[in-house]
Amino acid sequence: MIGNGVNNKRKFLKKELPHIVFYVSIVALPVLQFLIFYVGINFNSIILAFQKYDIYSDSYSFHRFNNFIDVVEEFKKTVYMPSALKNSLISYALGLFIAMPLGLFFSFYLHKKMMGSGIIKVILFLPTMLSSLIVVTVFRYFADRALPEMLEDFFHLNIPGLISSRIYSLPTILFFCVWSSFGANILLYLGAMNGASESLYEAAKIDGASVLQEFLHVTFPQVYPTLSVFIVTGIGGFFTNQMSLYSIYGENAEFKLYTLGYYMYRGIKLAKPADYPHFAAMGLMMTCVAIPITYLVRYLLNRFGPSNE
Amino acid sequence: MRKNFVVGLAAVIGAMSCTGLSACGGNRFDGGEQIDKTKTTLYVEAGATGVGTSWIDNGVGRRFEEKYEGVSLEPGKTGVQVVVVPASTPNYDNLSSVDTSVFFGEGVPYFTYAAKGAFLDITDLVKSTAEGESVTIESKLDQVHKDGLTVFDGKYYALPHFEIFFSAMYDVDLFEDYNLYYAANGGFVTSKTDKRSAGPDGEFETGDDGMPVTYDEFFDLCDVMVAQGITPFIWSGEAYGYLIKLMSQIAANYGGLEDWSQNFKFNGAAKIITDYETMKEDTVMIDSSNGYLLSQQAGKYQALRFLERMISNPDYYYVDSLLTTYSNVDAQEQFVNSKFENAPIGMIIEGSFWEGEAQAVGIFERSIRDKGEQARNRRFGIMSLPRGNSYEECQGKPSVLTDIGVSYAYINANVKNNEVLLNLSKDFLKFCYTDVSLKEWTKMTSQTKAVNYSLTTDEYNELTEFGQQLWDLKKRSVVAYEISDSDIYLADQNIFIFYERFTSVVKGESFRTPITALSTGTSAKDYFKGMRKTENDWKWGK
Repeated sequence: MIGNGVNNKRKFLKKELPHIVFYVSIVALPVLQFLIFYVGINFNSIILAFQKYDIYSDSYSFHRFNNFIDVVEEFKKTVYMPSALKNSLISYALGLFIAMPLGLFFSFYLHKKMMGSGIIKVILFLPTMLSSLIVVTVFRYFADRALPEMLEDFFHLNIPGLISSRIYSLPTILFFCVWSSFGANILLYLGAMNGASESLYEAAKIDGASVLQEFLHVTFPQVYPTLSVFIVTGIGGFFTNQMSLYSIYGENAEFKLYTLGYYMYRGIKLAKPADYPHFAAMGLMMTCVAIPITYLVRYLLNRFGPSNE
Repeated sequence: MRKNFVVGLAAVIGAMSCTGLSACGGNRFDGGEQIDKTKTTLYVEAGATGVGTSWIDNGVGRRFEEKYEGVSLEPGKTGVQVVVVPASTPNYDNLSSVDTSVFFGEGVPYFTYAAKGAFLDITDLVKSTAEGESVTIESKLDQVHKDGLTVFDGKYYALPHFEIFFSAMYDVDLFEDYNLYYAANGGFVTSKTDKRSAGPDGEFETGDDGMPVTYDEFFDLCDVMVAQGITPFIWSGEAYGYLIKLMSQIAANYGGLEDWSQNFKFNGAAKIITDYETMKEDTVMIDSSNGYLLSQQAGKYQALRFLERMISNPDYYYVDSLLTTYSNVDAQEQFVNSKFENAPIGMIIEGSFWEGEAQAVGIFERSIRDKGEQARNRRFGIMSLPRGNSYEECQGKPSVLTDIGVSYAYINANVKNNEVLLNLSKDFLKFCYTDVSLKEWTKMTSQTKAVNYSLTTDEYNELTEFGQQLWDLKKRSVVAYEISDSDIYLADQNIFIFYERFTSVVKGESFRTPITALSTGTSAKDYFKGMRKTENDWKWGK
């Protein structure tokens, strides 16, 4: 009996071994990357948040909660921090209330294959298809030099470079962020919309539903799970969103343009070992704020959102 | 068939994923040069854009190879090949895994990585004499470097490399053609043979003859330029730090060496504005407890006023200079070619490396190609900037040059694992700091090294016009090197880098750079008031 069991096990392994090897070879690298670059790094960051660096001995030592106190003091004393928080809020709100609805609208338009869908698709997908560095560089030069020159030559309008201007730089960058976000979002919305059964749309037509009603009662519930994911993951993005400032200005963005994400990213880029614990503590504090909000938003979306059944 | 295809595709994807891992660790780079495997290879990283690598390829590197011709350092190998690795900002945290042994860098975080043991201890090298010389390399160093470089444990881990000074670089030919020099008997010269004024140093027959002494004279010069159809200034809006460096230079010239040095030394006297209504200056002793007072430094206020005047008249500057997309190369190209396009520009705000940088990116070559022989043999100079508002204020004040390059030469500590490389690297670095090599470096790059050495008349005459003016200016000046043995500076260097010296808050809005505020209506006085820091903002020395 035992011999039969062992034999069966051997047969099973022999049969399944190629599948197991294949499976392990595919997931091994991503799992390893996850363990090193997510678990390991975050674990190290948490430890670092409670440490202090000594330049003379090149070593870290336990520093209790002092880094967290320093972060709070820095937030209180840094004059442009309220402005950075405001910009992060504006960028988030723009994404939620302007970019998302517009993305849905464009997706529905493309889904219904209305007039000009092809060219609209290319324009919206272009920032996603090209390297982000190319897109940012082209936009920078267009907004700062080409557009003002064109307006002056054709319409005799004298406007400053939009990226360099104290007044126009923020709206210009916000526009860029909205426009460049469409591609990836629309792709996912379209995928969800295309997942809806044609019979639903036919039934809606038969019932005399207008385009708007079709969208609200057939398309939107279909897309809602994807939307929820974007809204929930966007909470964490609130603290890390740089508004492409680093791509546009490098380390030299003016303070009034700062977001929390750019402040942190720039700080870490310029950081020396003595600065790492400070930013580790800052990241941990932001995580503590983001986690409960994320769970709350997820709960509310699941509780009150439409069902696609 | 399908199964084989899937397996094959998975294998390809897996292999492609593994290529990501190959980027980990150090990598060899031969810079396009053929590696001679019969020789011992010494990898050297050098060539910040303005300096280039020719000084190694055709200079010290070639002579060093000749020194080891026929000498076997390793079994099976005879001679040495010095291979130049194109410059990039090294990954200092990963130095131990790269093949490069000797580095000549800019913006080197010396304190951080010397403390971490990434740089080799070269104390024995620094305290020794080079071949054919009777003085040690250490004796060629400024006292500031001797104190600063040995702050950790009395040992040296790097040597100062080249100096970067910022100023207004001017077109000498343009200045001569348009008589833009002050005359000895007042007013401006009317011909090239007229005797020029003594200039900021107060002495005739020196390199700054005819240059403006006071701020008013400087801007009177600008008015004369504008009247003759010349745009006085151009600068790169993208490299906004250039204006900050110019302002640092003006502030240092105004306050003097000890005054300016307090920005990173915190152990001496500084001129501080103590009354914001009358702008009265007082001399205050700065230490670890009151470093915040440096936000009220009088020289910084003068620098802001200078910038305010620079941009007060749109005719003073090239219109694209305010654009953050206007690069330093754009500005250099425009400056060099402007006189051939009937839109001459008198001065460019740049670093002392600019001529080499423009050469390296082909600006002069393109200019000759497009504009013809008239574009050959251009002459440019470096202006000795004004030091005050009146002749009385300027009298007796030496010129101060601020070296913000933070440029050092160092050896990778990983050579400790290879005795041949260890000895070879040390010998090469020592070789680079002989007088012969220092002079050769200056002749080939027309720039100055941050150590003490001299040039004979013949060697001086081999420099370009710009190189000669730079050499002369340095000889007439005292240099403020941005290095310090202060505990405050070591604890938090980032706070004291020059980028942050002119940040301000005006009517609730924070500014990183004065140009943004001043170019949109804020006054220099209001900006300076907004720079003020208090004891609450100062966390050191408590």
